[in-house]
Amino acid sequence: MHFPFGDGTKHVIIRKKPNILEKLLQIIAGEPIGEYNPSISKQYMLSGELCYRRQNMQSNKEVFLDKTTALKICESMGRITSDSLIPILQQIQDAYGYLPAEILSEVSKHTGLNANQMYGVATFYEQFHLEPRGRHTIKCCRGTACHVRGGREIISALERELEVEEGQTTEDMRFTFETVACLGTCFLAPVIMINNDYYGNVKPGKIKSILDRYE
Amino acid sequence: MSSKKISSPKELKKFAQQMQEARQEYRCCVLICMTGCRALGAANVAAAFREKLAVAKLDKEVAVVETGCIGLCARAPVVLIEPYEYLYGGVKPDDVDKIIETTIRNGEPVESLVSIEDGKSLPKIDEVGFYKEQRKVVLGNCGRIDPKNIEDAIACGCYEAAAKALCSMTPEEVIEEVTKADLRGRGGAGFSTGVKWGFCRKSPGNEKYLICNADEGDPGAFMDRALKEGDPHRVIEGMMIAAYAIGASKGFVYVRAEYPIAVEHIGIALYQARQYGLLGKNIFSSGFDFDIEVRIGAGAFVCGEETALIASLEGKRGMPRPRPPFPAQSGYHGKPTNINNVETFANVPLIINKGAKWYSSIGTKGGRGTKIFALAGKVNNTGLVEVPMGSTLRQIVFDIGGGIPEGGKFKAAQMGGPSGGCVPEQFLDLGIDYDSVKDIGAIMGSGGLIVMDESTCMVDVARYFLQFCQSESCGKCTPCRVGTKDMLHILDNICECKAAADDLNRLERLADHVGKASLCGLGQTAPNPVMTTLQYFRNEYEDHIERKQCPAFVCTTMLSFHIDPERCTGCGACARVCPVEAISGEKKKTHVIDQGICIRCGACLGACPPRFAAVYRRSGELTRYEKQKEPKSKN
Repeated sequence: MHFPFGDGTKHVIIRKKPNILEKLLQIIAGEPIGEYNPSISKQYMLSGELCYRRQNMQSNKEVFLDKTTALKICESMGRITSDSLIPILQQIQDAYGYLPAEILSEVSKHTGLNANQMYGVATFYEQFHLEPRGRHTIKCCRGTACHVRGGREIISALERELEVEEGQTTEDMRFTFETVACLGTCFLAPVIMINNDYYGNVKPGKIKSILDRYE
Repeated sequence: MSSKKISSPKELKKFAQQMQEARQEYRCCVLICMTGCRALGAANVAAAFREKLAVAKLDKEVAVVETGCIGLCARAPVVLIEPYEYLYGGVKPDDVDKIIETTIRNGEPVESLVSIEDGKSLPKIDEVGFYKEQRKVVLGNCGRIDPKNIEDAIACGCYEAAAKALCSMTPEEVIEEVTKADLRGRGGAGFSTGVKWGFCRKSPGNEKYLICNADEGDPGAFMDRALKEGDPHRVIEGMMIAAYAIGASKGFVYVRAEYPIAVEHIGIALYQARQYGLLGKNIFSSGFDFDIEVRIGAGAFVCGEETALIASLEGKRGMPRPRPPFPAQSGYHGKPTNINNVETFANVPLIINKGAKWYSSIGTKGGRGTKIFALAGKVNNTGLVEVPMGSTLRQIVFDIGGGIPEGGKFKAAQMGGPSGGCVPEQFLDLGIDYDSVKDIGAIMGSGGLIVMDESTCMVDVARYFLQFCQSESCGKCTPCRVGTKDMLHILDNICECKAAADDLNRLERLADHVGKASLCGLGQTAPNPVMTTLQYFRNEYEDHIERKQCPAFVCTTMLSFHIDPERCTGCGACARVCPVEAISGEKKKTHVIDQGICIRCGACLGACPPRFAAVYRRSGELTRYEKQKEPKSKN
């Protein structure tokens, strides 16, 4: 998702009229982002519910984004205030795996939360992702203790093994590789975390066998 | 159990007694750390205990308790057997049979699992060097109780202090007691907690808020995580007392998302406290209402700064704002707000229970009470350490930490994370408290303590911390956003042999400006690691710049690997492990490393059999003799 602000390339004032905003989002989301190009086609009806369809370039399959989950999340929050924004985004990301632009604009319409602010928050915090993620997330710690105990070699070994760089997703959507400041388990240094499993005292030679456990 | 509400201190006492009696029905207790040790298979050990105790028909007399951190993380998974106080490390499910047979049936220690120091086996926890020098006060219950069970916590005296404060003290008395105890904020800056509460109390307005800062983002710090995971009720109790003192009825716990177990345990603890009426309306029939909401951070280091944290709670980008007004005057949604760190709150019940006089008898003038350190890095006993303020680094690193592994030599200790500094060897005997640490250029910080030995390059460490601060800078103020980037650029150049002679002076000047002109704590303290390493390890910087040499063999641009033709027997071990096929040579003939292809990973150095030891590394220029031996490059 590319909103018209933030990167300094375009400046468009978004008025509160939701249909204009939606249109904007569609145009913007059609722009190529990196190697793949998520294009939103028209709205579709799926099992009686309004859905958005977008092309997943990695698998070249169409992915349907069902907005009902997002709306349910919003309803479960009770009264929506600005405070609710981060918890809503966290839950949407849990449900969809990332923050799809179309869903965010739906949430904005539904709750009255400002889409501008939503984008600001989503890009500020490291936890939020605006692009689809791999099935498994590898977090490699680059904390002090890990650094001292050879964490950098683990990072480069992972990059070699996965053939991606930090922050990227493998082509088969199997892994997303990222580094984090510290996993808080320094006594296991160097540490990597795949999904919610910790692996401590990792050696570059052990990485392949660890990765093989995840399909 | 019952959802009976506890509505007076008397009832709490009675309930605690009941629970203590219920605990005594078990003659033996197997305590298994289920937080940090979980990563090394503690869950399987616990399951094995349950299964095998049931088979042995001992499950009625022996309890298996999943606890928080017991402390000695280096020997994870750790098991502690009460009442014998035997501490076992590195326990595997296969060892369970032996423990049941030897310890639980006969009360004897299992020799193969106990700590060994100087050839002597030390089965009891108090005898182990790691615990002997410690004073576990704040961590008293951590590792002794089931954090998911409020009854366990109450049996150990939790919520007694809250009952005392709410029912027999006025808020002013609470504040006075905490001020007298000279409790200082454990989050970093070390501001007096009592005074801070006083400001918030005096601020006009009926609606006030209390926030527990559990966004422990410092790399190398895990004290708050252990407290939240191991003894969440103590933190909640501390918050109750603080809320009563400042007059808040709503509290937040801001936990970072990277700590899923902590989030889970706090959630359970809050739910249970509500069930027992310890949170909610009219607590202990004192007319005081208070409840706590958990908020999960979204991953921004700067949110540890109080104004940024408040912005994040309000659903904004987590950016700090200039102070004043301080949060005590205008914080969360413009209302008076008090923010304290997890460890600070965990100290409060102790002060109320045992009094300011007792509390201030521990520690020194520059800091009262105890401090929890997360000991990690190049040290034998990594783990969680609680010592009285004023303990020396030597005590922590050598007596408790067991010294440097593999006979290494202590070089420096990094204190206080990216805002702190590197403390060199000459200060090993300095008593550590807020003031003394500040005098030598570091800060107490939240308590991360990373030990470094001779194989650590101090320039690289400074660069690492600066890189962290630079990438976590929120970008609001220019000195931090641009200054850290510029400093990082210089350090990058130094590490990559591209630095000019004047760069050190420029670096120093920049560091000074960034520290003075930045808006919040992140920018103000970001130059600290650079400043302290420049102060104490200037020679290493000079080696990098002038001699193009990294004494610790860390900076790869200056590093080169070579094979000594006189020692190489052509076994080919190095060539097999080389990831880029830079090593060539026929069987049984001298091998050669092509420096143009070599990526300096060091795999060949590790692969060369020690009896040949033909591969060697050099940083900077080779000696003339070595150059002669070096084969001519093909290009």
